[in-house]
Formats: sequence, C-alpha cells, structure tokens
Amino acid sequence: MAGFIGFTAIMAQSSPPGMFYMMIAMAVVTFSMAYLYPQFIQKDERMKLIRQKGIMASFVAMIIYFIFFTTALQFNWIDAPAYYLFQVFGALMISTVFISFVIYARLY
Amino acid sequence: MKNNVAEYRKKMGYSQDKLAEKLGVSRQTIISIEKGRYNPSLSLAMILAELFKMNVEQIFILEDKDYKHPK
Repeated sequence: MAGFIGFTAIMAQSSPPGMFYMMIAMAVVTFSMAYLYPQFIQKDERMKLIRQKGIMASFVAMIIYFIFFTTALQFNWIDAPAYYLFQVFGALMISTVFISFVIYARLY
Repeated sequence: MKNNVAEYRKKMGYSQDKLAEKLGVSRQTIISIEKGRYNPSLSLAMILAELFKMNVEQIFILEDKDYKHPK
C-alpha cells in the first residue's frame, strides 16, 4: 500500500501524502516485531538491557530530530504544512524505537 | 571480560538450551555470554558459578581493559 502511494506520488511528480510516512513506519514496526518477538517473549536480563539501551538511543535520536525540525522551520529550510511535519516526525519516532531495538538485539 | 562458560558448560555436559533452561534465560543470552558480547548480571554470574560448583572468578576473568584506572 505504502509502495503504491509512493509510486503514484513519484509518477505525479509530487511529494507523497502525509499518511505515506506513517505507513512506512508501520511496515518497519511489523518487520521489527517479526524479528524481535521470539526474543522479546523471553523476559530475561539480555532483553531488559536491549530495551533499556534501545529506549535511551531513541530518546537521543528524538532530541536530534526535534532540534533539526525546529531549526529547519525557523530558518525556512523546509516549506511544509504542520500536519505533514507531524506525520514525518511521528513516523521517524516510531521507526527509530523499533530499529534501535533490532540493532541492539543484533549487537548483544 | 573473558569467560570460560562454554568450556565448563561442555564439561558439565549441558547444551546451550539446557543451560539456558536451568538459568531461566534465553539461548541467545547464553550465546552472547559465551561470545563475550554481553556480561551477565552479578546474580546470574553467581547462579552460574553455583551450578558449575566453582567460584565466579574461575568462570569470569577480568582483563586489563576492564579496569577504569590503570593498575
């Protein structure tokens, strides 16, 4: 679905609608959970560490996103409606949390 | 930190699955500990030592890089 919306946006030579980013984020969540579920189901100390580190890394990433978006809006680097930015910001936050879990699950 | 978990596990005749079951952790946790990617908590290390009938220091060995200040 997200691929179709993205494809039509490219064909129409315009930016994809806001919901496209949220759909991509949901796809990331689905694939991440498919990878993490067999490990997350066991509540042992390694998983606790992965969760703890993942949440910490996503928190830092979110601060960076926030600073970037605020600066970009302040200096008019990006010209987009607030609705659109909220969708992108939300999608980034959701993806970051799950991707950082996957990265730490690979590391530990 | 180095460890001899794999060596002692094999001596005791446990598979990774069996050891994980005995300790109440996942098999990935045992793999990570054996490969030295993850250091277990103090309680898990002590339970492991108890299971192997050894001291913690015989299983987990500190390396020079583990010291925050040079000796």
